[in-house]
Amino acid sequence: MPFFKKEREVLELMNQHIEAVMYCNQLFVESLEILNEKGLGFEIERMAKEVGKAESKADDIRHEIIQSLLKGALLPESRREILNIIKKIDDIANKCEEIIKQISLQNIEFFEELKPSIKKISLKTKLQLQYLQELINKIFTNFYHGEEYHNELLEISKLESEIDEIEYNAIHTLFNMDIELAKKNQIKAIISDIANISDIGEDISDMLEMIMVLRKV
Amino acid sequence: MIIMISPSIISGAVLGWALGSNGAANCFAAAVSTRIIKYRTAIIFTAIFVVLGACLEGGKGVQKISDYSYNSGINTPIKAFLVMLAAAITITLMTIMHLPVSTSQAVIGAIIGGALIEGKADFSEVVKFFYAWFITPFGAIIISFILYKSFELFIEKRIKDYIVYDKIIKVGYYVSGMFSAYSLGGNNVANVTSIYAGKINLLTTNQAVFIGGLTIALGVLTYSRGVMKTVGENLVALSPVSGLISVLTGGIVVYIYTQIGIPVSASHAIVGAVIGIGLVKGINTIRMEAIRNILFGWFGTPTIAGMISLFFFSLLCLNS
Repeated sequence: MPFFKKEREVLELMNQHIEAVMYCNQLFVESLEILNEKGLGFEIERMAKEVGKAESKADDIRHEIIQSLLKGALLPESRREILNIIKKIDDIANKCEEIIKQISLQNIEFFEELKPSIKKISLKTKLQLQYLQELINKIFTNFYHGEEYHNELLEISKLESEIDEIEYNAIHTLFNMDIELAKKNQIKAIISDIANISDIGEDISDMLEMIMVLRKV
Repeated sequence: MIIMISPSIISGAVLGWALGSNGAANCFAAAVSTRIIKYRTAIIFTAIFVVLGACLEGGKGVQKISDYSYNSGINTPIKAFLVMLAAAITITLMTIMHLPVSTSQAVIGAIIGGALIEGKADFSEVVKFFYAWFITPFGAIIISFILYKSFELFIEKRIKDYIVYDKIIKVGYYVSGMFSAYSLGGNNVANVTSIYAGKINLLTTNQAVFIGGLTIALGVLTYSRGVMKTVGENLVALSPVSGLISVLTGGIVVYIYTQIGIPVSASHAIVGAVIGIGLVKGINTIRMEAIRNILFGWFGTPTIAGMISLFFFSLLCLNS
């Protein structure tokens, strides 16, 4: 409909943006799998570059959204909401890029005891982001039936709690290991960063819930 | 053709300007505060629709007030000047003292003040005005309750899309703002120039509504930013739909009184609308400050205007 052209363009770009971030996270999860299976090396460096490229693409789309909003699409309050959401979604891609870069730069490899936890965290985060993508699509096309999104909201929150628990156990295992404290702290920081992605996901779902609540008569 | 206009309308013009800079801020205040509409656009729309409303709907109120004023002994240019001066001073003093401004009440109070000295005070007519002022917020409570409930039952469920919701709010703010400005112009223009029209014949009804509308528009265009900001901040605390329904209700209530020909306060109507929305939502939106302002508008404003007018008319009596 020409009447909603600018606005539809923004929503279309938002879809592209979350797709780009999901792809970035997918590459990140693959990188961690490679790291767990083959250790550091050329492939991790290549993957780090790929994650970086995916992050840049997501960032470019975010700037396109900002440009579209500058044309005057949507109400100022809605623009603010969208800017906050895309900023948070972009934080996921930034986090993925940063973690894999640090792993590569600091030559970090996970101990065998920690590998299952790292895998679980990254896979659960990926699943949580899929729920989030679904939730975003639904809310922007049918925000009135908030009760129908209860399942996604619940799953996002549940996954975040599970990830927190896995993180806690992994750090507990790490600090019981007979290695240098500096090494423990270095790996702990990376584990926390990986688990942090799900916190961002939950923050975004909270923001989406606010959008529904504020528009309810 | 040169139209001779009595200089006595200067005090009415000042009152019109004050009314424009104060009362007309209600129309687009919420929309400007939420930055849905730019201030400049809002004042241009308000000015246009105030003049339109005044010219197309203002005749009824002008007739009623001019008759009441003439029958109260305000039958010479100097008396008309003094009544409007008393009302304008009241409004200015109240603005300086940060007290709520109600132009309709100030004008009626000033007429009564003059009429007391003239020995022609007609309190039976005043009761009718007072009754209308009293009904204004209560009527707004009922209308906003019905509008809000209808929106909840029939419209909300149909708006599923984020974008469509946005558009409805945006268009709604434009339409309700323009309608409110139109109603306000049609209703409140009687406060500004009606005293010079009718039997006193300083202005024809057409001249009265046109000049009155222009002076209100001038107030909107030159000095409404501050009040618009203050009023808007209070309305923005509500949800977008609530803000929209408050403004629309204000417009509807004022429009109804325009058809009856009695000038009323748009601010009082909006306060009533907010209370009505609170009733639907089951929350207490009654602010003691707003109630105090309304009570002051009903009793304080006409009393102060009446006393100032009484003082002016006493001086006039001593000199004649």
